[in-house]
Amino acid sequence: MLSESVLERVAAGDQRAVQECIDAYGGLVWSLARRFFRDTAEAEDAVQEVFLSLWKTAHRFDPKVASEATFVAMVARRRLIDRLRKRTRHPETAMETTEVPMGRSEKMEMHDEARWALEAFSELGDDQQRVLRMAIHHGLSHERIAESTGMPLGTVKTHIRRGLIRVREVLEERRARTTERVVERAS
Amino acid sequence: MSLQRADHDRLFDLLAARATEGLSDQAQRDLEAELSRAGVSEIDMLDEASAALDVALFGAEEAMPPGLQSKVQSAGIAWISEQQRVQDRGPLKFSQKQATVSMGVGGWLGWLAAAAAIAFAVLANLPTRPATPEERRAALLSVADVRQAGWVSLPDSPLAAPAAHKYDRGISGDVVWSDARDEGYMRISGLAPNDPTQYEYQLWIFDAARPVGDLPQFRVEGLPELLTQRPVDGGVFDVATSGEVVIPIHAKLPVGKAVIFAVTVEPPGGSVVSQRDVVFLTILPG
Repeated sequence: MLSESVLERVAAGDQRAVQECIDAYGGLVWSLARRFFRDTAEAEDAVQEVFLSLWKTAHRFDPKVASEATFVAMVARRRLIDRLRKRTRHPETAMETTEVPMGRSEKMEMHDEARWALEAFSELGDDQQRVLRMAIHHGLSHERIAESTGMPLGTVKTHIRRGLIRVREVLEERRARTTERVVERAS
Repeated sequence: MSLQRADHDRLFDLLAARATEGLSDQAQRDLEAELSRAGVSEIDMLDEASAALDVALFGAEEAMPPGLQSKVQSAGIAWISEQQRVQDRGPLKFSQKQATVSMGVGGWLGWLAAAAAIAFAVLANLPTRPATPEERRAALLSVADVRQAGWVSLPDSPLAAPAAHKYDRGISGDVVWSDARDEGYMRISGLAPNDPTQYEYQLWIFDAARPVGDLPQFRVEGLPELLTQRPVDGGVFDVATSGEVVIPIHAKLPVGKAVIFAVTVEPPGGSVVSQRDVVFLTILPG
């Protein structure tokens, strides 16, 4: 019997899974929102949007394609990026970034995909790592990264494009290997 | 990766921008065109990589405030209850998932075979043709909670744009929308083709789940209170022909219960807060 993930149970209409999902990923979503928005009320609104989006898209989660934490982070980042873009169309609301202390909490156990992503990241060049960290972890726009590093905008975009493609390739390779091993064991 | 990267730098630049800083409406349309040209449908191809990396680089986690937890939980339970009510009236979506988890050994082996087949297909770089908006619209029509309504032009309404007739050449068509999927399509014909450097059309979604009255200047005697809310931006679009076009709706925020869709004329790039000179609209049945 397969054990059902919390998102699959949400998609199946299990109301108890809602609280379990908040327990499991509330800290991740809240911390991501705080990183995007310094204003607490704005971050709270953003978190509510993210979770509404999660309930709606839970049926799309496929454990064979991505881990649950990656799926949650994907949905959250999509909503937060869109919200931030919308806010920054107002001239009075400039982009905010909040420095978050590095260091993984005990609760956030690193799953396979994050570990593979980190391995791919660590093999990138220093400039590429720096630019990707600024784009993903600090949420800076490509133009802001170019301004603060002094790199041409085209170079920043190339670093981000190539870095993400490399991470994606590593994820695909590792996932294919894992699938092959599962099939071998079962046959 | 199922594409020759060197041939698709522009596509991957757009995918990387989407995954990191987001896209303007124009860039989003460019991305859809590039994906169509490349024959792939994975618009979130690099989103997963950036999400996995974000989790990997994640800093110290902060607990969600208890008050916020309660709000999120209540909204989640309300949403599930609403879905169950919707399913009582239509085909069960949840039942598919329940069937999946009750599989026996045979089902497990079937799953493995399917997983192997998927892995093989991915590794074999099989190109997939993205579904057209017309096909996606047709598929959405079979979803349990989908609602559909025709466009209404507004010749004498207080909502109508001063020069609405300039754009209205016998507007017809409809909107199909699913709240559960946050997905919908506009079918429009008879709308004046626009020059995107002069003006663009923009869709606005009035959502019964959002607060009303936050823009009181839009209160008009005899019109619903809903129109005083800040609507959700449904995306900017252009029309190249007076003939029929099917346009995917790109809601910039999650929509709880869409009630009215309105199209306005806005400066190139669209507006954050519209003056609400509506050209035409549709009201979805409840």
